[in-house]
Amino acid sequence: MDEHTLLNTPLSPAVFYILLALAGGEKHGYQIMKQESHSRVKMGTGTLYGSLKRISVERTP
Amino acid sequence: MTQHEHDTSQTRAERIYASLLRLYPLGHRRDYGPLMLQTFRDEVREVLATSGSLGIAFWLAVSADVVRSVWRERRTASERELQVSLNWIGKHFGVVAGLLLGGLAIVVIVLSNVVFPSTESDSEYTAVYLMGYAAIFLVFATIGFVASGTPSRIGAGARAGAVAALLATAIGLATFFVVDNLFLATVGQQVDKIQGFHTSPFRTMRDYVNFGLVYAVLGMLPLMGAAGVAFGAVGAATRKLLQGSAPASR
Repeated sequence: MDEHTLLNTPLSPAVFYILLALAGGEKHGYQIMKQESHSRVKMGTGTLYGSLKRISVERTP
Repeated sequence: MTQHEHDTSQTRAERIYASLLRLYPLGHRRDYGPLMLQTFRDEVREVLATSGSLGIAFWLAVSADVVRSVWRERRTASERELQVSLNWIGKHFGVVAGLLLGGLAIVVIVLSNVVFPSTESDSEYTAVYLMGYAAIFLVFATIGFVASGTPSRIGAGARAGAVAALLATAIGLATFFVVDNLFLATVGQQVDKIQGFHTSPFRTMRDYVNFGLVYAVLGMLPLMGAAGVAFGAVGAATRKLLQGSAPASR
């Protein structure tokens, strides 16, 4: 994905909340999920790791 | 709930989730399976500690998440595989096009020599043959056009044209060899073959036909290869010209 496309592709809610959760420091999977449960997004394990994969594959410069 | 019941519920839930993990594509399972299982384990432990049991709501949420994420991962994996296949075809376009042309040659040769054998001389069809060759050269140019890529590289187009031409010609000649030898009684009825055989020094029609094929291999392969190079390069150059005249994108 080129930089222009990357910058203009909106974050999905799941990715946004994962990044928000990780902004406070390193966390393991269930800690991220728990933090999400306080927000509007209820995330399951499958969604969490699918989103983490997309972050690492598509959004790594 | 006793500690033993707790442990049993935990183990059973993990087993069920481990089975559900098999629904994910292999690559995803390999990269994230152990992490997903660990996260699920942590979740189950906390739910059991706070609620005492894993209710229907818990399993409904797990099922919905699995269905949604399996669908997404499988779709992503399929799209990636399709992209890999398309990239392979793009990289080996000359080979793919040559095999397709060769397949078409097999059909045409079998139909015109065995299924609907002609009783007229080839000279009656000169115009048809000329149009056929023109069409083949146009196909070589198209192969060169497609294979030259962006930005267009003339060498890549010429190479793809040559590969396609050599492969298709080799398949066509091999088909002639098989058809002429297997259906000699039918092929031997062709006017041109009868006339050629009578004026040749060969004692059998089979020898005459096979000697002709050797000549064809020595003559046609280099000629068609050269045509593939030339028309492939023309196709690539055409693309280069079109790319040069296209307005630059902002």
